[in-house]
Amino acid sequence: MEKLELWELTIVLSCLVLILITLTLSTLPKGPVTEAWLSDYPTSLDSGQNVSFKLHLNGWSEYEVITFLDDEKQATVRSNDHYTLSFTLPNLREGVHRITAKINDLSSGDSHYLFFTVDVL
Amino acid sequence: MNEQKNQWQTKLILILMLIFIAGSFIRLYPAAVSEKPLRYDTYYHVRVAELIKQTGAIPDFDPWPAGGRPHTYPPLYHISLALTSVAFDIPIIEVSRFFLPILASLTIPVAFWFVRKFRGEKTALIAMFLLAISPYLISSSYESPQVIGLLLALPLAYFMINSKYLYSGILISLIFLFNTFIALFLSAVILIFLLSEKRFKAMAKTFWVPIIVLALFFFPRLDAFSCSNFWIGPFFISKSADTWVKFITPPFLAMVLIPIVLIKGKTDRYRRFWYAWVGLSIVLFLSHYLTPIFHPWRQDSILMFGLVFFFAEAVSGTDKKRLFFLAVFALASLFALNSMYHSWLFDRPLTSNEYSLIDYIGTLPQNIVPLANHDMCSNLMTLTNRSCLLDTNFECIPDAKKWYDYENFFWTRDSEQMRSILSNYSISTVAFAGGDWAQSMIVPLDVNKQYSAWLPNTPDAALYEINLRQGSLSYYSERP
Repeated sequence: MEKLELWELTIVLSCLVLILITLTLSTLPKGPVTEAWLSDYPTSLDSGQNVSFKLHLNGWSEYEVITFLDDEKQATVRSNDHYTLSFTLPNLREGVHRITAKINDLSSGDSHYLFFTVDVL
Repeated sequence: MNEQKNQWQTKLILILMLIFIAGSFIRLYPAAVSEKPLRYDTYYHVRVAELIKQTGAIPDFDPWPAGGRPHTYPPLYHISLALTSVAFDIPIIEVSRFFLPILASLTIPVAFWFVRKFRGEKTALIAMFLLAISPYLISSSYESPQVIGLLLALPLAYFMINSKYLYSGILISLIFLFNTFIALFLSAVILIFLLSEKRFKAMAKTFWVPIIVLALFFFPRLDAFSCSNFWIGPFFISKSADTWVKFITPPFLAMVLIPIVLIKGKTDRYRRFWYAWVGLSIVLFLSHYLTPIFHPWRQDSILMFGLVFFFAEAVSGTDKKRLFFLAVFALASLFALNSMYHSWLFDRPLTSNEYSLIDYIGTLPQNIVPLANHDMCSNLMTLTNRSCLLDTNFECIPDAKKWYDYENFFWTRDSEQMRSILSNYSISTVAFAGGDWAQSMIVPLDVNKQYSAWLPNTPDAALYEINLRQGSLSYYSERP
């Protein structure tokens, strides 16, 4: 049998390596998704009224939710993976306030935020 | 003697098969393991093909981007997708995952056939091998019907080099009906090639058919091109070359110069054709320093395609110096390929949490038209059949200034510019992909972060409502 020339050998070996690389590769890691969203929140209200809103969580881990009125900490709630949380913050004074829900993902240790502003007249 | 010839033939067929299978596998594997098409361009083509499948006609209006726009993209790729979908009873989005990578794989044996016609089996094998492993060509196998143009470019070059000008013209016309950009590029290569030989009659013989096809396609659509700031708009938008273009320029120049130095012997028509191809490609690539119109991804792939044949020509000798360059090129390609396989280039255009955001937007009222980046908008329009403010730049852009302001919203690092874009165009909703750095800059504005989706240790994909009060947007901290 005729010997393979060097260039032929290069081609053949490179193709084998290519196939091996391809077979052992995987695509980018995909983890479980957590979704969180706000609903039923007001854009404006009269002073002295309470602010109510809902936070929906659709995930796979345990979560700790901390609410803030501007920078002031309000309530802390622990939630499991699928949950709708209702919050009420009382007696807002006049002005524009940002209400924030900080969600601590207890599995990954990450924090995520949802927020809305409300104009208190 | 005959026995030796038979042994060589057997060996040749084995090597051919091996390279073809490896090259096809590399192209098809990422498409097979992805649940959705790999590139955002494909989502545009799927939308148009769906419209053709539903109506049985080539649309003259693209209804998805906000306000709609005239449709001028050549029809054959969309028709091919629609027909394949009907013939095999497969959804168009599934057909689109495999259509282009299969055709890109077919380029590998066609390259062997083509080079063997002019240079023999050894050079043909090297060209085929370089084509099979070229990271640029592999990564560009998924998005644009330019892949079909590159496949047909080889028989086109074959006819051109053999002076079959009419056949070349027919092929250019066919390529034009798949993609205008690649057809114009190939026409320019042929013009340079024929001008270098002063064959003016051959030009007429080549181009009379494409000119008629071009006229038949465009005359009924002149209205579409009369819209203000039509698709050539980007030509007039001044943009500096990005960091990547600056980084890659020296290696590109080296990759063109190395084979020029190595190539020995007389320049014949075959070699002259590839000189024209590579010369024009590198000039167009360098034009990125002046204008963004020749999109880097497209132009790079075309340059790399020419370089495959250029390199095969340069390294087909058996002396050690040329073998060394072949080995270095092959190893560098393998290394690049390995890195690329781990990158977003071989994954769906969006991450799982971004697809969750798209599903969420799909549940909102139809009158909510979000601003999002190109990838998000294209996926949103295709997967939820609703409108978005940005779309691909493939065709008529009815208001280029607005369009580029929308793009700048995601590129700028100036929150004041972001605020003025949101105010000026009364944008009510913005959807951010995880990789959009602009997301952190919108937080000080008077906005509501209504929805968020995340993967462990990744940035949020999020939806923001913009609180335009009396038509203007303030900073949250500056509100009374």
